[in-house]
Amino acid sequence: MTQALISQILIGVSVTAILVISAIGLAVIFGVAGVINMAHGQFIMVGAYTAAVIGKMGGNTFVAIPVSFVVVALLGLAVERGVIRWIYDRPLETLLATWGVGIILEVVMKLIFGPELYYVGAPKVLAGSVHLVGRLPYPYYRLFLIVVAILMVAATFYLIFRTDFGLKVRAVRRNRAMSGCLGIDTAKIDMMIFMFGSGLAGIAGAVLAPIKSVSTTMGFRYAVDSYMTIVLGGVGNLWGVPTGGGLIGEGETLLAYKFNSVIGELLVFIFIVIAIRVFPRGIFGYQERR
Amino acid sequence: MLKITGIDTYYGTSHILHGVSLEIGEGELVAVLGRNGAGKTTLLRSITGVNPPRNGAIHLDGIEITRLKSHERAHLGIGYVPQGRQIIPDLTVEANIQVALLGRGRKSRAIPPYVYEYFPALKPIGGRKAGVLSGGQQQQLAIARALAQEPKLLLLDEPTEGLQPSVVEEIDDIIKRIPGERDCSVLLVEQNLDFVRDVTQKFTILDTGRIVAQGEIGELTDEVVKHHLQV
Repeated sequence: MTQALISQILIGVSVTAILVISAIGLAVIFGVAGVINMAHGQFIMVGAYTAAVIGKMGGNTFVAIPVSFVVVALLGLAVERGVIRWIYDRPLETLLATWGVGIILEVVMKLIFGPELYYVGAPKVLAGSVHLVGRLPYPYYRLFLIVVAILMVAATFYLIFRTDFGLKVRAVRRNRAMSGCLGIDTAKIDMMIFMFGSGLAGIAGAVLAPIKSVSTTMGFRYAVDSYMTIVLGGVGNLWGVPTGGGLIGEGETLLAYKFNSVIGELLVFIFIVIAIRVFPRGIFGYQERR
Repeated sequence: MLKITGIDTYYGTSHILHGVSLEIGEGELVAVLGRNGAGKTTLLRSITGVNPPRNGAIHLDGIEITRLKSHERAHLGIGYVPQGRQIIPDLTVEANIQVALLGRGRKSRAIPPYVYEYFPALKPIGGRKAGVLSGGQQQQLAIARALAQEPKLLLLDEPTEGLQPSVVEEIDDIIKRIPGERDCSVLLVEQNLDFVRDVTQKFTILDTGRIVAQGEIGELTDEVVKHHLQV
């Protein structure tokens, strides 16, 4: 019983890792630039296709990570410069515009790559699994995803809390007008953060590609999970991503073990609804002051 | 050094400033006076670019800044202490000042010693979150931050509003010293007439967005005050 429970908790950790990997780019963009990127799932999808192309060319996930980061960061730059920067102050229109961008990306990728599924293999060193507790095998690739999630969070924390760029970002996030008066080019900060957050979505696509097939519609599911994670965790604080991800990941896994996966997901949804009622700005959300 | 020519500023659809003109000379301290809602803060926000004017022109040292972004104006030497201080509450005291240093294009985050010479009380609390400071300390921080911008023109919006008398005295003393010591002109929005008469060279009185009186500080007679400022 305890062994089974522990192994379920460990599976929950890897589910959490996947949630964190897919949500952190969205959280960074939402938290700083105030834009809910409805194309986030499609950005992940483009990252996954990049990994698929790298795979066809003989590269593995380790090669795909930096390439997908750059490709999707440049995609983010194009979307920010071409669409978002004109409508930053109109939240509803950024929702619609990024939704449209997502649809365009799906269609364009389908035109380029066709309707068939692509499969990306895990790197050879990460093949196989380990027995952590009992007889249940724990794939190395899941451990790798946990490491990736931790590194992505750590890198984001480092950027925001330990660099000059991060200090400007934190100032802009709390008081845009005053930061401008202090000489900070707030539009450039928004642009850079949009690129960085998009790049993180690219990495998400690259590392998540081997766990499922790559298709043009794969982004939707990751996007929904990402929105739930950051809504539950709150966007004012980066800790919100691992917290929201942890609650959803462990909750879904353990409830699926106790009942079944459908009931597990349903109960987690109900929990999120109640949690948002109690913490309207998420668990780590802060009160906006003007 | 600053020349404002007939600016009209709107807040949304409401017309706030009507053809306001104003000149500030090198090293001058100029007061902006007026009742509540006269447009004093809007005038400062027109100069910083938070609320750029729709018509008219603003020149700083001969460069037209009317259409520039706030950060471009800051780079040209406009420092700003806004109403309500607008410090960043979840950054430390030091980090608040460092934002201004980075904004000015400094590569080092080291806080120049002169900042603490004006506000020695800030040095021991450099690591504390600015949001937990008292009102007086926050105001000191807001001015320290503006001085770290190394401004050529400092805009002060009611810098002693709501502070206790001993702090008011300290801040007034520093404002007096800034033009000579920091090689900078000052535009001061202030309610305290004694202080204004004591330290400024020129004054401008706004009423419902229009200039109703302007001149050398000697011309700010009780008659003028009674006519334009008393409720």
